Amino acid sequence: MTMTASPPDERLLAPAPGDAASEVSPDAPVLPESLFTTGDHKRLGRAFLIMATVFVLATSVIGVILEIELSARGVTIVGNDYGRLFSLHSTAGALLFLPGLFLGLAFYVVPLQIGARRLAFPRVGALAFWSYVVGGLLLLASYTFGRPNGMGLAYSVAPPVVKGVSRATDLWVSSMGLITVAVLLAAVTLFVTVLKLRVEGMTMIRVPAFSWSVLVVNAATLLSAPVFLAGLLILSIDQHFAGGALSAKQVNANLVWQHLLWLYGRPDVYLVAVPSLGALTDVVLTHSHRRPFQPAAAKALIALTAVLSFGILAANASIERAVLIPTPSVLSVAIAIPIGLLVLLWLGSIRPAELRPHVSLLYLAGFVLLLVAGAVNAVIAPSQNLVGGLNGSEWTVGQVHALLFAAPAMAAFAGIYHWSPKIWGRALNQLIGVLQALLLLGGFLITSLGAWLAGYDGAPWHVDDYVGAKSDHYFNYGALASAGGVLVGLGLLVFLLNIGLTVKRVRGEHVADLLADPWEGQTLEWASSSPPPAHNFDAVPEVRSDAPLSDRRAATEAEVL
Amino acid sequence: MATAANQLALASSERRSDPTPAVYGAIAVGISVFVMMGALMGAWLALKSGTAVWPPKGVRIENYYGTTLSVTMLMAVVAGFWALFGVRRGERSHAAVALALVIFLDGAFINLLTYVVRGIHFGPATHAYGVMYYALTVAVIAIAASGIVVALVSMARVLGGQVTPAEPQLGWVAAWWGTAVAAAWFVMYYAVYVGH
Repeated sequence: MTMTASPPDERLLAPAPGDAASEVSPDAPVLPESLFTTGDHKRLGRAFLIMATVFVLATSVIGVILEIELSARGVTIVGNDYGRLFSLHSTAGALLFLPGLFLGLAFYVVPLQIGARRLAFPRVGALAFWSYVVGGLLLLASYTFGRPNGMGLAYSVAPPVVKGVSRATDLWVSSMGLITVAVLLAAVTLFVTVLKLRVEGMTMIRVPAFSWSVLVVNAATLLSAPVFLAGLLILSIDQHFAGGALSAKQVNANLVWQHLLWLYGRPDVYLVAVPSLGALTDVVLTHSHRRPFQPAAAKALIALTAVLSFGILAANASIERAVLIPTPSVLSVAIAIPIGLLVLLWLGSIRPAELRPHVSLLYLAGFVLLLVAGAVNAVIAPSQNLVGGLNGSEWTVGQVHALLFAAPAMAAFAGIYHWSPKIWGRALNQLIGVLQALLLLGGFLITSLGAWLAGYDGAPWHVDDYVGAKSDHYFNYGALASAGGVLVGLGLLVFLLNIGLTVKRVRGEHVADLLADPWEGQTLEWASSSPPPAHNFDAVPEVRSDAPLSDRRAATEAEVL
Repeated sequence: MATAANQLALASSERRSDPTPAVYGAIAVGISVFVMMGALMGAWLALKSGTAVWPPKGVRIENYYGTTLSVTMLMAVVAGFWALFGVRRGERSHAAVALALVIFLDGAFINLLTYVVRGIHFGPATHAYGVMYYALTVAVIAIAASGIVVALVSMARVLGGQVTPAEPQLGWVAAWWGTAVAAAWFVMYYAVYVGH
C-alpha cells in the first residue's frame, strides 16, 4: 500500500475549530464542544441534512393542507390566506429543502473525497449553517405575523404591492436575505475547498464527480445569488419605507423585479440538478464496480448543465407558455441534453454481472423515471392547448413537483443512502430505505399526476377554490394530489425513523467493528474509517488516477501474488 | 480506530505554506460583490430608461461630495497597496501604519457618505429613485464596513507577526479587498454623480 510520505505538519494536524479531536488534545478549547461552536464539516453536514428534512416536513404539511383545500367544494382551511400559504410552500420547498440536503452532503463528503482535513473556511461554513437555520425559521414565522405585502412575494411574477410597513413582509424579506447569505457563504467555502485543498496528485480531472459538481454549482451560485440579494435589498427598502420603485405605476418596475428575481430563481431551480448528477455518477460507479467511464465527458456534461441553467432565463415566466414559444422552449429543453447524455454514460458504466444491488440504485431509477415522466408531459403539453388562469395552469404544479423537486430529492436520498456509512458510522437500513423510496416515488408521481391531469382538464393554479362546470373533476384531481402528498410525508418520516434506528445501533457497537469501506469504493472518502476521525484521515492514499482506492487494492493484490 | 497518537503518523492532505485559500476566498466574495453591484446598477438603468431624468425635480446632487468620496477611496486603495508593499519587504511598522490608514480612510468614507445621505433631503418614498439610491448606499456602506473589518484583522495579524514576507496572503487580501470596495463605490458614483 502506498501512502503519502511527506513529513507531518503539527500545526495542520491540530483539530479544526470545535471538532471532536479537541477532546483528546491537551490544548483543548475552554468552551465545551457543541454544535453552536463547531466548525467540523462532518457535524455541520449532518446538521444540514437533519434541518433540511425538518423543513421539508413542514413544507409537506403545508402542501397537503393546500391540496385538501382543493379536494372538495366548500372545504376551507386557510380561506383567504391560501395564496400566501402557497407562496410559503413553494419558497420553503425551493430554498430550504433541496439546497439544505445538498449542502449537507457537500459539507460532509467533499473534504473527504478530495483528501482534505476540513473545509477551507470552517467558521464561514458554520455561519452558513446558522444563517440557514435562522433564515428558515424566520421564513416559517413570517406567516404567523399576518399577511405580507403582495400575494406571493416568493415566486410571484408581478412586483409586490406596496402597502407600507408590515412586520410579516420585513420578516419574509429578512429570511430570504439570510438564506441567500447562507447559500453564498457555503458556496465560497465549498468552492475554495475543492479548488485549493485537494490532496497532492488529485488533478481537476481526477476529482470525484460529486465534488466536481459541487465546484460547478457553487461557481454558478456565486454568479446568480448576489442578484437576488440585490433584489431583496431593493424590495426591503421599497416595502419598509413604502417606496415606489416596484410600484405597478412605475415604468419598467415589472421588468426590474422579474429580472432580479429570475436571474437567481431560474438557475436556482435547475441548479439543484447539478449536484444530483454528481452524486448519482458516484453512486453508479461505486456500485457497478467500474472505473470512471469517460470521466472528462461526464464532468463536461455536469458543467454544461450548470451553464445551460442560466439559459432558462429566456423562458417565459409561465413554464407551460414557454413550451409553446420557440426560443425559450429550445433553451428550456436544452438542459435535458447533457442530463440525457449523462444517463447514457451511467448505463454505459454498468455491467450487470458486476453490479451489486443497493438501495441508492432504486433512488436513481426513481430519478430517471421522474425525468422521463416530466419530459413526456413536456412533449404532450403543446398539443393540449393548456388554458390555465391568470398565472398559469395547474399543469405547471405537476411539472415543477416532478422535475424540479421530486427528481433532485430522489438523487439526494440516493447520495444519503450511499454515503450513510460515512455519515452515521453504519449504512442506513436498506429494507427501510426501499420502503421510503417506494413511498416517495409513489407520492411524487401521484401528486404530479393529479396536477398534470387537472392542468390538461383546464384547471388554473393559484386559486383557493374551483368554480365552474369542471370543478368536480378538479376536486377529484386535488384529492389525488393530496393522497400523493401524504405518501411523501410518510416517506420522510420513515427516513427520520431509519436515521434514529441506525444511530441507536451504532451507539451500541465498538467503533473498530464498523466497516470503513462497505461498498469497495474507489474514491478517497472510503479510505477513512466509518465515521471518519476528527482529522478525517490517518493516512491519505496516493492519488495517481481517478480511482485511487482501486489502485490501492490492485497494488495490494499484486503484493500478495 | 483513530487515536491521538496516530494523528501525527502521516501527513495531512494540506500544505501549510499554501497561500491561496484566503486569496481565493476574497476573490470569490469579490466576484459576488461585483455581481450584486451590477444588479443594482442594472435596476437603476432600467428605471432610468423608463422614467423621468435623474436627478428628480427638487433634488440637488453635489458633485463636490462625490469627488471627495472618490478621492478618499483612491487614497484607501493606495494605502492598501502600501501595506502590501510593507508586508512583502518585511517592514512591519510600514504595513501597520498603512493598514491603520486604510481603516481611517474607509471610516471617513462611511462618515461622509452618511452625511451626504442626511443632507440630500429625499427619502425612499419620495421618488422611485429614492429606493434605488438608498439601496446603493446601503450596499456600498456594508461593503466599505467589510473593508474596515478585513484591514483590522490584517493589522492585528501584521502586529502579531503572523503576516510576513514568507506568508503575505492576508496582505494581498487586504489590498485587493480595498480595491473591490473602491470599485463598488465607483459603480454608485457613476450612477448617481456621472450618469445624469
